[in-house]
Amino acid sequence: MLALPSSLQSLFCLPALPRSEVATWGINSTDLPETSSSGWIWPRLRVVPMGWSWAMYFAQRAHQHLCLQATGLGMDRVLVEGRPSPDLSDSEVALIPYADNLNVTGISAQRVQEVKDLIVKKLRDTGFRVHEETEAQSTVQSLGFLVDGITGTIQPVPERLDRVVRCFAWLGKAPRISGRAIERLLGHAVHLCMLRRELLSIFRSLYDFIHSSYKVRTKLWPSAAKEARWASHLMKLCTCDLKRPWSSSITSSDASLSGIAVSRRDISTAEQALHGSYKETWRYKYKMHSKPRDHALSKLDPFEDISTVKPVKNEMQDPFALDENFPEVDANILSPEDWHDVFAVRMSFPEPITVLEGRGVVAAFRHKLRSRDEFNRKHLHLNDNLSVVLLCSKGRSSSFAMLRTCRRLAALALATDCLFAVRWIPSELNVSDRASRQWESLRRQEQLADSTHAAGNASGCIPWIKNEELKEEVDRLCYPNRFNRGTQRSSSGRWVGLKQEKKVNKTVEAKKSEDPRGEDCISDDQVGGENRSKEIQNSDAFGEVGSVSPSGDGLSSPHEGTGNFCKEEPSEFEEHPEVRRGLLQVCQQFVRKRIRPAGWHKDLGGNHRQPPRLWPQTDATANSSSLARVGKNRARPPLPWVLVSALAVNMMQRQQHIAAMAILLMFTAYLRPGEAMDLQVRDLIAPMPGQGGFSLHLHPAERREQSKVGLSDESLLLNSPLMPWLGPALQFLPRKTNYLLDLTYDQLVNQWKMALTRLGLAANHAVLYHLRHSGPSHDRFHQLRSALEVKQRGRWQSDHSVRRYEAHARINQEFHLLPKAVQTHCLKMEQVLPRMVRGFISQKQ
Amino acid sequence: MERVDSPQWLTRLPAKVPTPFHEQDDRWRELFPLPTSQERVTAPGASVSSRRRCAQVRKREKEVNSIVKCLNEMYCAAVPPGKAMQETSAQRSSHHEIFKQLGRLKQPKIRCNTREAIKELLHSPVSYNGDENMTTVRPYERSLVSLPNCGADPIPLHEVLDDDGREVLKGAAFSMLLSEEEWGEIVEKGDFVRPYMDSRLQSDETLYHQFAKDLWEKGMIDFTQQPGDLVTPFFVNKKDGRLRFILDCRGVNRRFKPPPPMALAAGSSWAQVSVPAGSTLYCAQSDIKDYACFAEFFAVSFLFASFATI
Repeated sequence: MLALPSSLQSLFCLPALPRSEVATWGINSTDLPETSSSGWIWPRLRVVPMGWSWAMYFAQRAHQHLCLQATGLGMDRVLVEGRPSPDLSDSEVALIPYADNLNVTGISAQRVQEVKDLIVKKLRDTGFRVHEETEAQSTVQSLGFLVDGITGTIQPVPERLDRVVRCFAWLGKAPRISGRAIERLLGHAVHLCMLRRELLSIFRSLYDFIHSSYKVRTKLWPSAAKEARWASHLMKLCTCDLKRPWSSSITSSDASLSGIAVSRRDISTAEQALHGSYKETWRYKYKMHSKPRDHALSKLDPFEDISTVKPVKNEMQDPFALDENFPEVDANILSPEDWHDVFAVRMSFPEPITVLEGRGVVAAFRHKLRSRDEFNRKHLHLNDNLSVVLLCSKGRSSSFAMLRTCRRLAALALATDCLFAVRWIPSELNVSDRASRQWESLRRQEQLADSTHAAGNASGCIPWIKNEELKEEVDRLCYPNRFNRGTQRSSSGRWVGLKQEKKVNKTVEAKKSEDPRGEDCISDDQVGGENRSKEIQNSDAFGEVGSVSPSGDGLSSPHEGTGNFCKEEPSEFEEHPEVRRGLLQVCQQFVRKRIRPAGWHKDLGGNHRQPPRLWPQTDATANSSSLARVGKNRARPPLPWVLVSALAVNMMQRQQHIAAMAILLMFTAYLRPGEAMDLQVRDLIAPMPGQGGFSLHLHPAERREQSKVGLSDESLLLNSPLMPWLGPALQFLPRKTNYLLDLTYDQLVNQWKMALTRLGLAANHAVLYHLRHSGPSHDRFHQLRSALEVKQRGRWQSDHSVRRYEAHARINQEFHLLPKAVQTHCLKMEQVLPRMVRGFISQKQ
Repeated sequence: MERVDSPQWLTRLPAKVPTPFHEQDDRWRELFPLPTSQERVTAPGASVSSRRRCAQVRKREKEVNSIVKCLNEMYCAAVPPGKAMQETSAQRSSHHEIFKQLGRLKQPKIRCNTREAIKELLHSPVSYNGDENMTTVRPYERSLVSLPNCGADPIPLHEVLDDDGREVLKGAAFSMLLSEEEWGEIVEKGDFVRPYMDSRLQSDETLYHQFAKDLWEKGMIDFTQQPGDLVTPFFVNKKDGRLRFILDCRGVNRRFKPPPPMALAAGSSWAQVSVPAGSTLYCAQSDIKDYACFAEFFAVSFLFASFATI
């Protein structure tokens, strides 16, 4: 046992004892302090207590020193965190002293045994008692992990892993639990995850839950339960293969705000091991970790930074501390001639540079791991963004955007049993830098155009720029052809640029639709080369053809800000492509910020799922129908019941029973289209014997669903006297899934439009959302429900909302607006509908 | 303003929309989304051992499929429900790698059930009675306390330290303890730590005397009339059911500077080791008995955070 220095012993005293009591223990009176007036004496520790903050320092230091003294080995043979492992290929051993515990490891059993015996002898000679000795063997349990020397794998102790997995599996069922209990489990899990740090990226909501309800037992959030489920399965992959070889090539990536690029070169495994065995997080364990760029580029100039001057006096160099300098990646392996560009991708969606750099790293590994030859290997990757490199080394990030990068890397690493080593290099030496910046000019043009819009908005008008010089500069940058050739119109007087643009867009869209990787990853051949120049040409043409410049010349009076602009009557300039383009750009701004103004669905119609792309511009004419909806204080008019029934009959005649029941359901239950599509079979509740009719259970909390206004477990009775047969009809609908209405939104819309067309109306005569307006208006018109009942059934919180939806006086008006033939047909179909539905039910029964 | 969230029904795939995946596209090379493997069917008429082996493989394949689903979710790669995708060779290899990783995972010799695991790791009962046992602090029980036997002469620190360590120890007043000004500043702030002491020892004088005698008999203490500061004893559970003796040194630690950083290994350091192909890794171990007082290492601050509410 280690003795506490006598000078410090008096600091470690236990509560006092009466001297008279101690004297009865048989202690020599000379060993007891002299009697004081109080008669109390204090027991003081003679040995090092482990609660002392310096105890570990001295215990570890003494053990390490004795080991090195006994074996004659240097500190480089000691395995420590912050330095690569000692090389075992020369049959020499590695020492792992940890407090009172010692592990000697190597590939020669004889040498391992010999070294261990030497150390044990030294310890015993010094006076320590050594126990729990094990001879050199291939399977041992050390520091909480199981080392299997034959297969060369490290894994958590199986019993412990089993417990952790079971606990996570239980948490996956979302039980009621306190954050404190989860914190304890995460402590165990994090220790295990140190073997594969990428597993740390699993945990995010669980941490949030801990902070949210630390002491209170609450039902575990669904997102946290999902993470627990992931952990329960993926922790089984928490093993480390020590025999995993290095890949034969290394990659490098870089990102600019407009693109990412990946480069690759072949390299010897020895060089890879040299650089890849260092972790970037160790940088901060070293004394000198500041200014990595200057350090890497050897620009330490004492005239610029006085802290780079060597100290005048020789400071004591602690052999047990890490060196002063963290080794940077050798610049010699970054010679551009050794590298080749693998691919470059234009990033069309504006994101923070860190996210883009993360995408670059993911893309590099994803590309490399397309080949199964790269599986079960260590891969070295170079990147010039220190934040991204550090998070790759750390395995997780507190920023959710970056955590997604971590999770993707983790999924790749776990699926392929690979280890990713990511090292930082200065941007100046990054070979991928050039390729990633090839679209920068386009981005700057776009940015400049955006800034002009912003400037316009700030000054109270839409993009129209006041400063003439700036206006001309913008036009010159965006539409250089105009200044070369002047304005042109086609012979037909149409907007030639739009047509050409549309053509290019279609090509790109077609290519994108073939590419299952999605929008965030357009391949280089889609955006580079000829296509790219064509896009630019067409974009120029888009602007050049009109007499209206992007800066707003030629447009009618400016309006007050975007919001007011959208609310104005569009009749004056709704056909003007420049106006459409302006609207689209406003919309793009919202999409970039992931927000939408309240009621945007009205402003932009049914184009929810295809937000305008940033570049090239989408075809503005595609939204012409939606612009018709832009109108001040204009709500959708209600559809007369006879028209709805005619539409339903039309659908049923074409055997589209599900679509017919869907619109009837939306009409009578005042449902939003999305709500109707989300209904499942079990949400349609049959009546008890002898009781009422069918009812609907909307947004069940058990499925964690919520309405638009955040409510769950809403109930609706299908008790309309118009259609008492609706409940049974819904029950007998054919379906292959659990959904009550087994069709997609697109299919329903198609059927709706087809029915309107067949009735002789325009396909955009009404949209599905009209039905939510029509039901309340119909019920009030026929006084089937009171105003309060309508409000409750529509689940509107304010009377103002009800007024926007319920406009029963307009029912007659809408009916009279229909062509006479259609009116007659609809009146007939109203009589036919109940017979058809009853026939359908009896057929199914 | 409201957040743009895709409605739930938009994520439901239409019945006859052409799948965006690579069923007929032999140029597809991406790893994700990983398809799940088909369940293996036992051939009719197979022997019992064959059926047993097949069942084991089937069980592992089921685990592989669960892992694949989780990986797809983590990667944010959507797989169309009910669609069987044509595997690429890389995806097959990926399945194989996961299968291999599961295969090399050692099985526990002693299995516990979920309830036992929860009780041990979460220190939380599964039931709703709210009776959580959140700390491992236990009251003094003489027969259960394990005290180290350090004999007559503990080994002086300066004899086993290297030169640098000895230098630190020699100048403890300057290198380890706070200066008078620094300590004075802490005193003036007045945020003292009230050390925690075992409740039984605190209330029962005779019991404390007996405990102190036990310490003296083990050679761990001597006596002084000029105490510098106070440390107090308490006890926590050990795995074998006995009690571990711990001293609350938080008050004393405030008098010391933080120790300098020191490179040392952790359990995860094993993952840094690289073993040449074809070699076997050997490991020999030893442990110093009663190296430092109460030789198990622990974080006192963590313990106190746990029982601060007691």
